[in-house]
Amino acid sequence: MFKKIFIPIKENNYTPYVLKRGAVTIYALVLLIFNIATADIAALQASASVEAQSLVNLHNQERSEHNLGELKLNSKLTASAQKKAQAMMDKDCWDHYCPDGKSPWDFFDEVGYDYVYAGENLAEGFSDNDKVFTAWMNSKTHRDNILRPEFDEIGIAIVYGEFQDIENNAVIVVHFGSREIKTNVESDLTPIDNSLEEPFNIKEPNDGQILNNNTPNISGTSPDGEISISENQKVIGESIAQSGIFTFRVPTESSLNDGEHKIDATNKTTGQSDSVNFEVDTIAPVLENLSFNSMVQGSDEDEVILDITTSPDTVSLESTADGITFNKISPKSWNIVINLKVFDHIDELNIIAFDQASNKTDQNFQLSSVQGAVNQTAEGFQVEESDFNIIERIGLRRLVNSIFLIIIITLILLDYYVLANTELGINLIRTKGNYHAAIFIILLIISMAGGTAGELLEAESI
Amino acid sequence: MIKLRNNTKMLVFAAILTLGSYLLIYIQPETSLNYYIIALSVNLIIFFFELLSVRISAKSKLNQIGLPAVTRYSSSEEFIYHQLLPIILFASFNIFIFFNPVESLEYLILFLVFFSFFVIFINIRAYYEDKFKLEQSTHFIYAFSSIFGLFSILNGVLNVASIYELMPFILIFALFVITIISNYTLFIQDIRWNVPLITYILISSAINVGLTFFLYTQYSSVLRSSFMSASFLYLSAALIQHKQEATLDRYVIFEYCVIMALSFILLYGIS
Repeated sequence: MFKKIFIPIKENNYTPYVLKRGAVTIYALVLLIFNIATADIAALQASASVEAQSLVNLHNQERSEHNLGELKLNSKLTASAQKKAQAMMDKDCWDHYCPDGKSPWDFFDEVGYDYVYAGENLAEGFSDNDKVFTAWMNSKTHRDNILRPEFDEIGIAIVYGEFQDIENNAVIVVHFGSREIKTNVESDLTPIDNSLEEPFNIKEPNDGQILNNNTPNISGTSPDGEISISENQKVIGESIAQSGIFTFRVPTESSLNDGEHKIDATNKTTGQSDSVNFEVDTIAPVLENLSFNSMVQGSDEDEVILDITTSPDTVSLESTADGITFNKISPKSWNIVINLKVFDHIDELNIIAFDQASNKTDQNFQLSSVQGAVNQTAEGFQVEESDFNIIERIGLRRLVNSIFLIIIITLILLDYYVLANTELGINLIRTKGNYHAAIFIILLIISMAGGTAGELLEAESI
Repeated sequence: MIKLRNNTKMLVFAAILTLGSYLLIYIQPETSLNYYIIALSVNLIIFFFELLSVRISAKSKLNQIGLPAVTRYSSSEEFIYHQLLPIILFASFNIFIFFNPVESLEYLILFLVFFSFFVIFINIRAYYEDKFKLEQSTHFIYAFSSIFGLFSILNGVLNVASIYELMPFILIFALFVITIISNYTLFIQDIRWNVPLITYILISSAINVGLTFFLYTQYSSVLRSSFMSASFLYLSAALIQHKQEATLDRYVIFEYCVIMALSFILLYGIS
């Protein structure tokens, strides 16, 4: 019987039951019902997907209507946008300056895009090209970026995954740029890298930056000449600006104490000066008082919530273990959310804390102190039926369809392989529609390409 | 039955191509388009030499035992099956991943590169060693090459059209040429060419181009437009083939309708 179902043999007329026309019809009907049942009405609208190329098209259409030059897709900008989108997804951070305060321009630098003008637009939670573009056009800052005459190149990346507690969410990053100074456009932008004339500027450290080094580098741009560096009007060293750049490291004997500092730099030749305020913090964050808080039902599994106390300047917590997330509750208090299955398999919890100055504390906590309370709560914990919301349904729908694709491709190839090894095989194959596998393989590729996104109800752009 | 130990060379050649594709994927974000095209060309040259090596060593086997060389294919069929389609397939995989740089997709593409070219090398070797049954049972890879080639190259062309805003008539011409070539490569061996058939192929290609152009301009969806075009080619090619083999009846038509319906339902399901 097993053979008749799965293997092409004489008894089933060389077509396994699972690939008979009737069976395929049933698959189609069942999948149709399942897909409709797991879809939202909004999802039935055409073109419910976000695609990079389509977005580039929309950008260029809009620019064309404003008599602006077209944006050409640049592979380096695409790579920088991809890196940024992936970093946002990985760190679950929703900010232009993320992860950990990293600026958008750092991503441009990483891929070697030598920009003069640069810009970034972000969006998350959209499932439709037109909707995301309309949202940007309705926001002044995004609109300004789209219609900047200085930009002539673009890179777009769309990454899907769990983001901001939403399954199958889409993070969209658009990087705009130009590698040439525009002289024939009406511009309100200052070129980012103007090598024609260097103003006097301290570029490092940034104003307001918090450093974890008490002998920091002071560097910047200046007309060539001797530079004097002072802290609170006391000269701590000298440097020379060459080719428009100067750099100076605070010597160990003048090392800066923890706290706020003001550094002045003066060009002795031209008399120009600039100053920068920053803070030095060399003390690593403190982690203490791990305690049990509660148990909740998560989206997939039950979750244990623990509390931990930190020093107030702690900005992020991480762990080397999987299945653990951290939420800041107050300046000194954080929640640790651990999947119950993960909790049951670890005796020790590794926590890494970072403060604003990127000081790091890596500490292990024994879980024996909270295990008793967790076990007691778990016994009486009643599993409640969670809301089977639209996002979960869409995730499930894509998963089921993708798995079905893999199964049907496997069955067709198995059928083909077995037939090829029978005496009648070759003739049978030729009369059996030997292109079926190709079409399903292409569908699997589209599925993996993520060129079509899950429909999401919540949408936001920054 | 394909025995791996007898096909070590084919495995190594397929692995080299897979490595080449991996390197192309690896350098793609960091390199300029010009360097990428140079790297792709180097891979294609290596591939060309692999094809040549398989052919020469397989031919020499019959030669050694004094048997005449296999001439079942005409020279144009031989060129299309053993050179053009494999090169189109290799380029297609890399074009697709170039325009759709998604990490999870990369592994699937690398797997497909390895599997497809292993089968292609086996097929070419089987042809020249006169192993008819093995050659015929691995022949399906050429149908896949034509259909996937159309899908991927259309995807690339539509992407380029988006970037450079190609004039509609240039785009339509490019789509028509690609569709005709795909039809031709699908049928070169199997079909008895005659005027009604050529007319049918021209009409189906024109409908295909119209459908693709309409979907692309109306919905701006490159992947979906490419898929619809590939599925239309699949349907029209299959019906022609069944007609030629006198196996076209209402059950066969029903089967293809069901498969098409299933593929559209799946397309919606993964959307």
